[in-house]
Amino acid sequence: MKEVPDIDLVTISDEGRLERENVPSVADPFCMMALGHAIRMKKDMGAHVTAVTMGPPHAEGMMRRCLEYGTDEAILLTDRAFAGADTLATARALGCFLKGQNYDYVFCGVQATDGDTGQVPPELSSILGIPIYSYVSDIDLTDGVRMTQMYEDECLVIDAPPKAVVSFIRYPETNIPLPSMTDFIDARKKDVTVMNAWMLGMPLNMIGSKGSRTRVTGIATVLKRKKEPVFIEGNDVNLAAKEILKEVGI
Amino acid sequence: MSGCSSGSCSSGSCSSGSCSGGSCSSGDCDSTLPPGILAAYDLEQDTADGVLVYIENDGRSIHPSMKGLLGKAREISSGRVFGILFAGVSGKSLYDELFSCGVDTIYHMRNSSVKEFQPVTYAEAMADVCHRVGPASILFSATPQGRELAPLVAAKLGAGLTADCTGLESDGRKLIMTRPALGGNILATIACDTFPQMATVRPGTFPDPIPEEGRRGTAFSRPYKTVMEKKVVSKERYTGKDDITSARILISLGNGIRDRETVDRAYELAERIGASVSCSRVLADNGWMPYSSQVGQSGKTVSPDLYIAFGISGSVQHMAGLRAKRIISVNKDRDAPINGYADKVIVGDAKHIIDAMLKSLEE
Repeated sequence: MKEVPDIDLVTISDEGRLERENVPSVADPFCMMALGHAIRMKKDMGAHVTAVTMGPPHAEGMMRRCLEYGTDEAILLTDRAFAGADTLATARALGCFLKGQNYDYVFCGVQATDGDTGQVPPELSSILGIPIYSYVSDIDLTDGVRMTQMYEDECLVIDAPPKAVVSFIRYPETNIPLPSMTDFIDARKKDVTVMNAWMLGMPLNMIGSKGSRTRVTGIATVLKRKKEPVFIEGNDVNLAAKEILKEVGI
Repeated sequence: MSGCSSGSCSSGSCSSGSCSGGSCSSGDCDSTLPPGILAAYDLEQDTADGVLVYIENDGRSIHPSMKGLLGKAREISSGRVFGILFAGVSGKSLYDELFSCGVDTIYHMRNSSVKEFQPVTYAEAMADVCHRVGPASILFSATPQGRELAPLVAAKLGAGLTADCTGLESDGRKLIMTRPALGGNILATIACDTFPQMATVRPGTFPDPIPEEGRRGTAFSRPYKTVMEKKVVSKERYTGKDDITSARILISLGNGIRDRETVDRAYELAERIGASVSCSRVLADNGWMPYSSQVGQSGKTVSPDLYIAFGISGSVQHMAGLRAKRIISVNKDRDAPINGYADKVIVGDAKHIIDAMLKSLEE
């Protein structure tokens, strides 16, 4: 899971600055797809679901919500030493946690809406030494585990035996099973487990900004030149239609 | 190489079945390196040179974004440009095409049992080649394939990787990468601390180079073995897909389109005027249009001559994928954000105007 600023609420000021203050953090929508599939596997075949995130202490709220959705456990990896991690350092921290766990599948969102890199799932699979199935839109459990992958111009159905990292895309037909009342009550009995780098046994030079191989050297705000468009009233649709066709050259 | 040895780069295992050194060019050379030698052969930080490019192809031809990427690789490399090519495409004409775009050396990876894109296998073979070649930079096109493969290779090499770059600069070896962040409102410049430096580059960012006819290079054929093979049960090409990234005119549909018939009408209109149809996120999310037609940060970047936006509000994420020469916005809302980027705004109902355009074409 990843917590991101709600990008739909980020606005741009007239000077071209991003107004990020007071923008609440939300669970990334791609991660919610992964959570939805995991919960569905739990309800259909009794899978044990653990939600894990690496983030600041306030991500505990999101993890509590994962418990309410019905995950059996929720783990928050949080440590000052994790700060400033690039995708590789993030994948290492998650990989270090997963190495000590017993799991069949690691479900992730294909990318996060704030960074859009989509690099953590493949890097994680490489660190764990297991296959990666990216861009998965659906899981079919009728005949083993089959997954549908959406590449640029083709759609693959693959056999996906256990021990794999799976990354999910948003897909219209995917519904996240809503938490039931019992899920809510059960969630109250559970707690978010908080772990730091020491508990994971991670060398500090492998994580956070020290373990990162990329460095942001500069940030520039893009000042988009606002245009002064020609306004045409479209009450007369035929006139408007002709106006557009003129642009097309017809 | 970094300290992350466990599980990622397996020593020795990648050496079997490949040729030692660069001298062997035939496919069936099976001399193996002594076990463990690749682990000891760390990437030389001081001598890393040249740019290695993953040449994406569909088994018939190279991906349309490749030429621009190769042109850029040629421009930023002080040394050689290496191309790594998998899968069935072969033949002198393809090699010549790559050489003319600036490639000096092609590593053509061959394994007759591999029929389609196998990310883990490819990554293993690429990491092996990188160990031997020692490139300063490794570039991929930021297509779904490239975006899956690049992080696998990066984790194996312990290398820094920047996603979805829209700018690359270099002093010959050291790369400065630029990428848009937060809906394209910020441009972040990113550098890697170590070699090799890796980046995926947004397709269509760089113009195709002028081909240098008759340019020569070397092609090596190398075998590779499969690792954790993905079993494909069935495969289907998207039907009715038209490539929105290469369209000169785009009719783009957004949240203002409230019924499915209008989508069909828009396709009809597009066919009449020689345009392609794209959409914003909402229409892809509700399943009226395929995700392959979505413009924006989580979709594709398009650069048509004319972009006709029907009922598109113009969120920052949508605008991040739009580089049109001319934008016409058809929107009921006079204050829609997209109107700030448009050359012409038609304040009106998208559905009625699409109908009127079709009618006018019939007359």
